[in-house]
Amino acid sequence: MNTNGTLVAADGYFEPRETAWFRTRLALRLAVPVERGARVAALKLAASAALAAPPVTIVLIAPMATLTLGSVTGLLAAGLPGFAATAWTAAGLRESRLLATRGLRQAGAEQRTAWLIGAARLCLFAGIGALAGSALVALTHATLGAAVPDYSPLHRMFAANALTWLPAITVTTTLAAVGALLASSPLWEQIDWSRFARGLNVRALNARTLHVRTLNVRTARLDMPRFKTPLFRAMRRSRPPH
Amino acid sequence: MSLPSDNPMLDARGLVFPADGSVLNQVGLAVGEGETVAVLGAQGAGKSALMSCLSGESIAAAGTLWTNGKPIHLLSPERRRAFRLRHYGLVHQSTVFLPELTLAQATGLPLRFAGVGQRAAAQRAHTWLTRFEIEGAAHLRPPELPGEAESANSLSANSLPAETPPTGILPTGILPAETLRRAALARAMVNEPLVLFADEPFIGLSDESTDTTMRILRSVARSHGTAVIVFTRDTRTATRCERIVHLVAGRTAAEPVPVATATPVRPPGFPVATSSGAKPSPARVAR
Repeated sequence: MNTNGTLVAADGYFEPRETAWFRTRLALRLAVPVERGARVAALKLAASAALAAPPVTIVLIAPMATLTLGSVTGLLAAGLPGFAATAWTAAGLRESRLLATRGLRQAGAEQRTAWLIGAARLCLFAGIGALAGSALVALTHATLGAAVPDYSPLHRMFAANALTWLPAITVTTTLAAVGALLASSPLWEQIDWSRFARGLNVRALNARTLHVRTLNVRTARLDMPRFKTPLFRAMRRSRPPH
Repeated sequence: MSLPSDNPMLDARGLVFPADGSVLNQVGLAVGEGETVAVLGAQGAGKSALMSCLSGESIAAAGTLWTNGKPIHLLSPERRRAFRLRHYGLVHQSTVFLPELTLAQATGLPLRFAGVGQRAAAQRAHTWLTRFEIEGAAHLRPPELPGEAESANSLSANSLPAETPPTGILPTGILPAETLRRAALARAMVNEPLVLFADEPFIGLSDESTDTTMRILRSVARSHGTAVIVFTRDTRTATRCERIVHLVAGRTAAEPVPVATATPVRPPGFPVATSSGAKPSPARVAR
């Protein structure tokens, strides 16, 4: 079948050709949500990614000498709310992503195409959010660098060349998209989270604690004869015969 | 290698799946051009596995599968995928319509994936929606169907109600669930396939809606020569087809079934599809 919809030779059926840019346009079309609920969820993902992006960008842009354990730990701690929010919102979009993939498969798309188009919304909004957050840091780094005191690690981190910000922004955006994809992966559904929930059961914890204590007591009693101390021998000698 | 003796539209013989035959064991099925056949079986009888094997999604461990004289079981995965895309139509039990696309765009999507241009795909999609008598909903997205959120949540990808649902567009008496079922059938038929596989295509519909939709489906199948295979566990749905093939524990059982709404659906002179290569019989005999 050719692009005009007319039938061609039968062998042509074995080699379908999609029109140029059809997949890209369809991915962009499906990436932009039209419903209010989906739109809100996507915007939450973008905001979360924007929150998580600045610390990552700063870690990437900072000279190696300034990356001490304390500074890296501090930056990661600063990004922790953003990471958690990104993972949480991306996981919430898992169902819509799977439905989009299934709908495309039912419409005749091959598995890879359906997966890519279905993941377009996640990548787009996580990427846009991370891009906005990184770009904000890049644009204001001179002001921020001047505002912080000289002894602060951030002062030296922000002194990087402007050209090196572009790769940092690119890597941050990519990391956000990949992170969102990982968080929304259906693989997480295969983990038995109830196993961890059982570990937090108070009664189970109490029972386990009691069991451990009992074992410890028994072990102590059983271990007592191992100590061949003079006092122990004296105690055994003083024990009345059965 | 020889073609099936009576050359039906779809001829499957001795399908075994998986290799130990625990799901399908020596299953055979032959469906003629324009014929509507129901595969009736209880839950776990192997209907989904049979549909998967017949439609080429899964590869049977043994057996042969011919479609319109072509040996599907011998094709490479790439060619089988291309053949499925062009010559098979599938209606899944849990049909998903993308909420971002209108029914016309969703119906034309298989054509777009097959390489048809946008304008031609839109025209053919509209034609098929007209044949299924839902052309009034062609420009609506699934959440925009009036009352869709209340009556057909399981059919659409997103069941959120529309912000401003238009009313009075659909023909009177057609519920959104039926609209989406017909749209699913139109999407499967838009390629004018040789074989249409439908897994519980009328589930959730009333008897009246099922009758109407089945009448349309049989009509278009007859006019286009499409072999229709309906996989169902509902006896009432099965009796609306011309022939019933019982699937019990992974095996097909023949049983001639009188059709209540019997109409001459097979084109005159078309040979009855049988697996044994016997002479065509006037009686509709299931394998």
